[in-house]
Amino acid sequence: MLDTIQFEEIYHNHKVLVYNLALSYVHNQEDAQDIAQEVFVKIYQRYQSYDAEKSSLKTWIYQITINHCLDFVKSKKSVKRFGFLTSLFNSETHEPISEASHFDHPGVALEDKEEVGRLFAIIDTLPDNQRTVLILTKIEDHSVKEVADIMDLTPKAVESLVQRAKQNFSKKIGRTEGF
Amino acid sequence: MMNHDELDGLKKINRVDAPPFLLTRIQGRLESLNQSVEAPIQWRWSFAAAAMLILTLNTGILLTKMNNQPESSISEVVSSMQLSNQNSFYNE
Repeated sequence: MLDTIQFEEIYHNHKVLVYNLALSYVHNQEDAQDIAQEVFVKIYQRYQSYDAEKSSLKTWIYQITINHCLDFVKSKKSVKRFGFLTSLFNSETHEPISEASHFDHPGVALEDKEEVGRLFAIIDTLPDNQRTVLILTKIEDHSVKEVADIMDLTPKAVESLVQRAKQNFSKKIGRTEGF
Repeated sequence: MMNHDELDGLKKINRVDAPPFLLTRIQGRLESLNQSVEAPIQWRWSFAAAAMLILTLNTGILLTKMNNQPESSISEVVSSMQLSNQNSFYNE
């Protein structure tokens, strides 16, 4: 088990990584804080199962964070789907409720918010692995080798995944710009 | 074709620091988890004593029943009414 000093050291060394990665998936501070909290709880609970020979601590933390973010997004989507029928119309005003995503990324300047929000709106529609590979290469700025370690894939598989993600992204952005 | 310039828009995202209260929140959550996992020592002893009591009572009842097995109620009714409890049609 981790003692308090060890845990705090891990926290201080990785808090920026975990919080910013969570922001890339959920784009708002509230959810990113919830994710970061649960990720550090998992790190504390699962530290005994961490194998330093298999991967670096940073890679392990990346994997935990990505898995948690994807689970979080999935559960949020299913809650939205479940509540769709009941919340389709506002009960007081009987007006349709807008489904626009709540974009509140603190790392994006006000003048860039619209553009970045539009990019994320498309990235969010990509399959999980394509979305993750774009976040890791374009936002986290990792090399193919590093992404391969984090995603437990071969570098070749990562390269083809990046290509597919970019193609899908281009198709979708073309479609949205057409309207 | 691929729109690389559009994806480069993601470079406009700056890294931000985690909120200062996050560590306190995490520590609070860990504390609540530890508290809910471990029951107080008195509870554990009470639970063990209750389990032992139930086990002893059950064993006692079983032993008493085994030593003093009365004729079952169905057999009593059958014999008092002179009925047959067999599936044969003729009493041969």
